[in-house]
Amino acid sequence: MTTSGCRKVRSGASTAGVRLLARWSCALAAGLVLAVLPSSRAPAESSVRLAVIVNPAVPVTALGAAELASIYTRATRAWKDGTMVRALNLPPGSAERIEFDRVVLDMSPERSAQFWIDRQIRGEEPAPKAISQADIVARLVPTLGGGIGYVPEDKVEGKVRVVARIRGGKVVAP
Amino acid sequence: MNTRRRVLAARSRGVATLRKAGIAVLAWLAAAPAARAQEGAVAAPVRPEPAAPAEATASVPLESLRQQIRQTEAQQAAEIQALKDEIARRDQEAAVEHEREALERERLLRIYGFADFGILRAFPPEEPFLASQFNTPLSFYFGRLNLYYDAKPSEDFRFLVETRLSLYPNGTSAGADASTGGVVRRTSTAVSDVSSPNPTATVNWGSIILERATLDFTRYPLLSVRAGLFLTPFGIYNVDHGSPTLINATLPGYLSQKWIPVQQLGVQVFGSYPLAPWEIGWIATLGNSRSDGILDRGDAKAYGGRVFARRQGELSLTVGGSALYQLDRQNREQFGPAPDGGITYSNTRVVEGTLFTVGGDLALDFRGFRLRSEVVMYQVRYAEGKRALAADDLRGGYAPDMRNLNFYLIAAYRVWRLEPYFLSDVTALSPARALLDKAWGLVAGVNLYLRPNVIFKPAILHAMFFKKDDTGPLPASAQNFDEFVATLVWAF
Repeated sequence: MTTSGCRKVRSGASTAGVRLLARWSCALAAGLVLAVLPSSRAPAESSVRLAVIVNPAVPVTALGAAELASIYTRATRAWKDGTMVRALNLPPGSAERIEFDRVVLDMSPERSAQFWIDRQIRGEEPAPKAISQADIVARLVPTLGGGIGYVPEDKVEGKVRVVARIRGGKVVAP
Repeated sequence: MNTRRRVLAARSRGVATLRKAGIAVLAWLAAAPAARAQEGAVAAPVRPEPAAPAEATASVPLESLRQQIRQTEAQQAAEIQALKDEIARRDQEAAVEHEREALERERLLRIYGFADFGILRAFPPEEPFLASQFNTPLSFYFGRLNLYYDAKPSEDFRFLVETRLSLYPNGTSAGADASTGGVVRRTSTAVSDVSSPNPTATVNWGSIILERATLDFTRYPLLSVRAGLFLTPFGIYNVDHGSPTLINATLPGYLSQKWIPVQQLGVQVFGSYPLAPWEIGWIATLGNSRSDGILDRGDAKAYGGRVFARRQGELSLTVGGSALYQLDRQNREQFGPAPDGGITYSNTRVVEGTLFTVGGDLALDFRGFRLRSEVVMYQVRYAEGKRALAADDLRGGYAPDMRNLNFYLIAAYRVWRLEPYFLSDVTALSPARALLDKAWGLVAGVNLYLRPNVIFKPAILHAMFFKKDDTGPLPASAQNFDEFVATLVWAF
């Protein structure tokens, strides 16, 4: 940079903050406009029907979408009786996991992956353990104190309590 | 002759015997399916029946035999299916047991981390001091290799260690002074590899940097306790800190100028309350602050706090406020000669001040749009006669009382796997330093998400410096510099 160029920059230094704010206000506005444009990633309604199951000893009979989101983002760490929540996931990429993340956590697979990477690096609690098969989740939950999981509706066995269902892209009462 | 007759007679007897044996075998084969079917159908032991003569076997209706064969085959198919079901059931039980054990193993210890590696090119400024720091030609660099060791020794405790494996101090500047004739020396960690079969082999040792090591007691979500070495929970950047999480890894002004300590030794109490869809959280810290060493020899603690509200989902938003009040006390320990010929020891306070840092932060993710911003104020007050040395000022001397401001904003928009972004970071210093009163950094870059956990991050940085009524021998802009960095980042 030439000396004259430097002088020009320095002469404008006093208004640099104002100009900066103006520029970034424009950038922010543009970003928000882009953000509110209809997303091309809007998913089609899924035919996956899930049941959210808990260990029979867990003191809940029904859970709503917000409570499930709180549990599955680790914001809620204990049940009302003080038992620690032990949430089980299905593998990323499985139809059930994609549907659960979309409906309950309001996250696309990419957002979900980034969300858990970020938490891990910050040193927060990692994602609930991903179990390879829904059958195994259905069998693990009744043996796991504080256990909660989600499985396709036809995989529900008698030893668990269904506390919510996911049908047609919504969380509905059991 | 006699011998020949005997041989012929024996041969004909043998043939007759073989014929009889063949008939018996055929009869047994014909009867066997029926016998096996009976064995399968009846649980009680079945007595072996005497072998039927060939004539009797021939009289069994063929259709009956076929019926028996079909029954036997059906029976066998049912048995095979039952065995398959049993194997599947046992496999399932084994899989459940395997997952249960995996859950337990993960509770005991999980290892994960992140790393980055890249290439950089710095274009040096005119100003000599900065020129010595930003003069890297195009060079590969090894950034971070951070490993986390995460364990839950029991349900209510969590132990987390984060280490950084580095090549430092090899290659770092060892400084320059009169003793070196102004020549900048580089640290070398080369040592002879005495365990090598080659006696001339050398190795360069590196280092392990402890980023954090904490034990959390998390029995009560509203009131958890953390003890150990922790990252100061101030704003966004210092806790995000990892290259996969940060949109851009350039340090904000308030961190590059050390307005807060990156880590503290001490205790934290923290908690959060879910208020769906929000989570309200708070943190209070008591730490050693910027102690002279590992121990707080100056008796100068830091008191900090942070409150935040965040929500997750397609609209992810965190709004927070942080503050850190630090005592800055530094002592000089000195031995000297005593009048009686012995030695004396004195511990004199040479620096006494207070440092107060307060900031607000915002992190927003909505669809592809991402925004990160922090504004931080830093105020320093010293007791007269006990000022710190002005390490950040080329004029040297003592640090003045000051009130500085830093503001940065990153705006990014992710389309498909590409995430272009811009960053602006402004720092205003009051009173002015020898060569500047404002610094402005601009970064433009594009993150390419090869996978959610593998990202390529090229970026260009342009740093500018300003000073009002600049009358110095060198204009503030003589410090301006540029840097190109491309980093490959991955989390595992």
